[in-house]
Amino acid sequence: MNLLRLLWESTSITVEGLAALGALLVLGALILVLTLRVRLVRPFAVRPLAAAERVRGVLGRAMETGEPLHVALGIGGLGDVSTADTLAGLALVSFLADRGALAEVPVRVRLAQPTALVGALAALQRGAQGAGYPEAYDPAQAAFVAPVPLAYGAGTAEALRSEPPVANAMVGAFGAEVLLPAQAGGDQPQTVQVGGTSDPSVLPLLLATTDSLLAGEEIYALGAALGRADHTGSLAAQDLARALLVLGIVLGAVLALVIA
Amino acid sequence: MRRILPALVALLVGPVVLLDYFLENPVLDAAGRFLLEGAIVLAASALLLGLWNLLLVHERQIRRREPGWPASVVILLSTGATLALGLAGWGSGALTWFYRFVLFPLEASTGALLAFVAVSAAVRAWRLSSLEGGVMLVVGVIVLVGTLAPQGPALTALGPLRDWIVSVPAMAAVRGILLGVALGIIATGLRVLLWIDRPYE
Repeated sequence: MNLLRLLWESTSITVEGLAALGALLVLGALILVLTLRVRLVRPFAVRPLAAAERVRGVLGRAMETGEPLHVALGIGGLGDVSTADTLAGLALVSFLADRGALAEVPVRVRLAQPTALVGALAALQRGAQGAGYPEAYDPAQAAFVAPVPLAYGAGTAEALRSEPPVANAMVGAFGAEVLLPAQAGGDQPQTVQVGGTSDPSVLPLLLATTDSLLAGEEIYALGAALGRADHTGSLAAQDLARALLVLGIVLGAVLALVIA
Repeated sequence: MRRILPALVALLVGPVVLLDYFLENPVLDAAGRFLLEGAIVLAASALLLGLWNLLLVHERQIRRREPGWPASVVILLSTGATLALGLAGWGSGALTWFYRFVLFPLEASTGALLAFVAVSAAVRAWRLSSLEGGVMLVVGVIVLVGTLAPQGPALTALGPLRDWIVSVPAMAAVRGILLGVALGIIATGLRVLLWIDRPYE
């Protein structure tokens, strides 16, 4: 008890920190409640994302032709600032690994950070085991290209030219180097290209080079759009928080106008 | 055990690091620092896995004479050379020379290509006659020419137009996107912390 009291007495927090922690706890509680609702009652309906639908659609073609599906996870890793973007890309890798192992469709993943490689290999292995074909897992399906962005872009572009995929999905953290694989994929007439990133400065590059774009926050909804029911609770909480924020901004603007 | 242990570690470590960010406490500070340093060491050791993967992928490509295998030979040779240079010539400046006269010029020349690739992508998007592609091309040209501060009565009007595009519609869109992205990142993090999503399994 004395130790706990000592710990309590030596702890301090700023007002801003307290407000942020409070908001985080409220959002966490909301996510928990809505996820429980999804598990116990029924999942939320998720607006279809064009990019997710394109990936689903192209899976059938890949099954028929045996051509590979390619995912470029970008220059982000796990444990750095781009973790959320990488996790969004890994949700796509998981989806394709599950379906790919069942239908014997080769899935290729190319990335620039070894920490993302760990996540990709785990997703591919899980997909093969889940489908009941653990022997379908091949550690060379995921390739660490280079830790430098431009080298990563050039290496991925070269791989896309050597083995043209039926679909090239570029979902994760990217910079301007995304143009190199996007251009290489665009040169292949049979390749469907989808892209998604959270960096607003990269979005125009993906818009110009892909068939479907996941703009900004849409990449965090990719898991739910691909059928992950456990992602829909947090997506609903995210939407609710955004609606409250927008309402606050509008009310603030009106109030500022009235006072002025 | 293989499934429970990583989940337990995530469940215990996540809240400590999160609380350390908000609270000022000597014990929490020390624990948070220790855990973050541990994460850095783990991330660095993942580099060995990256090297193993690089060797595996390219060795197989060469052995099977897959398309693009000569590039794999170059990659393996340059990886070996850089590694040998780093281990043998540590502190001799050989690695610095390699970076300065081989890697940086290669990167710079690849980077210089990006401007042409961007123009080609914009033209392709415009040719496909998508509305977004057309709007993007027109706005891009206005911003580019406006930034160059051209001379002449017709072109000088582009300067204020460029400023308006950058500071009003573009800024509004960027702020909207960033707001959504911030919420998405927080929700993704909380989902992992609350054990709803377990990507580490």
